[in-house]
Amino acid sequence: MSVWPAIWLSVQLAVFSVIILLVIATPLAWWLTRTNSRLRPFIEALVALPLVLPATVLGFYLLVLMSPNNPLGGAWLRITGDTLAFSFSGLLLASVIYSLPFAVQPLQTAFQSVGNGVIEVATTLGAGRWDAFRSVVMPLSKRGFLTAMVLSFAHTLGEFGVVLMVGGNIPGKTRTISIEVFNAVETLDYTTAHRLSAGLLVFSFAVLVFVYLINGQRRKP
Amino acid sequence: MSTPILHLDISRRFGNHFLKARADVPLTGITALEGPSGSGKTLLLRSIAGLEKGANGSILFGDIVWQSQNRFVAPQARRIGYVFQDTRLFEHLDVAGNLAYGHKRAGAAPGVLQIVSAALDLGGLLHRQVNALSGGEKQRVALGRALAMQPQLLLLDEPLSGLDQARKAEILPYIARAVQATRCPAIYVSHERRETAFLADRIMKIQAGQLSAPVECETSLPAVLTKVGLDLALFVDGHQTGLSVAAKAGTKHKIRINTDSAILSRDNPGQSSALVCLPVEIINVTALDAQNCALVLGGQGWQIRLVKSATICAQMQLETGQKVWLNVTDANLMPD
Repeated sequence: MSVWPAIWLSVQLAVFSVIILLVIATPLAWWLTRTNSRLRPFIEALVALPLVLPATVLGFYLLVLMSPNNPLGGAWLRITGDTLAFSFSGLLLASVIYSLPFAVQPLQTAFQSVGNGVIEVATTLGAGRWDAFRSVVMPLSKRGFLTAMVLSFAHTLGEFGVVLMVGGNIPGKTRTISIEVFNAVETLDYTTAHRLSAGLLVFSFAVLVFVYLINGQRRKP
Repeated sequence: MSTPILHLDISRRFGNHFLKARADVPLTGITALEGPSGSGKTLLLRSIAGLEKGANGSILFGDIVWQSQNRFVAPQARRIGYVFQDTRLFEHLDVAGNLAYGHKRAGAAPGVLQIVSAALDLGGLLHRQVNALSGGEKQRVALGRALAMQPQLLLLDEPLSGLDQARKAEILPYIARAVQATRCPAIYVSHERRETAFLADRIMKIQAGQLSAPVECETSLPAVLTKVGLDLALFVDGHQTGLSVAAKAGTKHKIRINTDSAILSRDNPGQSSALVCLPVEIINVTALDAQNCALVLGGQGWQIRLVKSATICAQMQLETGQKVWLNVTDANLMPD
């Protein structure tokens, strides 16, 4: 049995998730770093929820949200003519929410360590807010961006529970690597299970080593 | 053309303290801002730069309103060079990149980079990484970065406080030379008398939450009108001068001396045609360049700064702590 459709689907899901996550997490992490708003702890808690909630609970709520009876799911059905649940788009939405803390938290840490000082310098040197962010904060947060991208990519690749809840088990559409492993074990196809599991294990380990390596560099003077 | 003025009229509460700053600062040379730590020196500087929005009142740069009740010019539009205590260099850029940052954004004249890098001796550092620089080098780069944008005003917030005495003595002439070379007016915050005495053309102080008016410091001697027999004469540190004024005995005056007419002698010259002749202490001697030496002379509660030929300073073996006689042949009275 071919494992490639599952791998290809997983990689697609991870790549799109990372792209969307960067777009969402960058301004969100920047806002969390800079704001004095009383809302901040609540937003931070909301972002971190996927870390502590069981995938089934998160998946259940996402499923409810995506149901055509609800505003989001209904609007999606009217616009695209397809249901959000059990589709690739639905899976993408779920994985963005599920991996959000893995993108926001490294960025927030990086932005905090950049600090206000150099931004003030940039301002006095004639840089506007966006200019200072682009020319000073982003390059100084390079490791934070790398960590955020790598972690959310790997995390999306390895997710099982939410994918099963929201996406189901549709070959080529929502059947990712982790689901394929589940199927293989269920059908006693241990060869496939071994190949996929070992692949994911090695990849995840390599990713984590990479993350610890780039963050370890920071401690050097 | 009269010198443009920085008009300050702001007040700000911070913690249990209150800062009231109302002064007209001439935008030429270096103005020292002194005051005990925690008195709000940095706060005042940050307000001038527009980094602090909390102050009430108005700040005018010449005719341009930087801050008023209904106007607040963003710091990036004020074209101020700010040198922070903790250099705050951009670590992701090399020295050249740091210098170019403000230079490029301000659209400064290309020649400025050369002038600044020559005055601060940065030529050999341009391609070095910021983290590989020593403390003194970092501070020179920070100063160069601020000056490379051709600022309208340079603000220096205790730029030498992180350095040891030897390093300070090394950087001070750089600051004097760079400010001179770029003709940029500067406000220099420090609580070190030696630094301000060396650099400042005038001094203003924050005392008990209040900013004093800037006092031209390099050329004025405090004098008291005193009765001598039937006549009145002005006395400096108890020494009679050749100047007098029609006023009541005991009133205070300022004698502004022409520093070019000042002559130093090791011994009391006795009777002479000098208008002012009195003993002073050498507080600091620093070489400005190969030809010139800056001398800071102190009397009872005042200091003046003279620039003398380096050859003469060497011949006379002038050193910090020595007592010499100051003779001045050209001086004017100033209202106190």
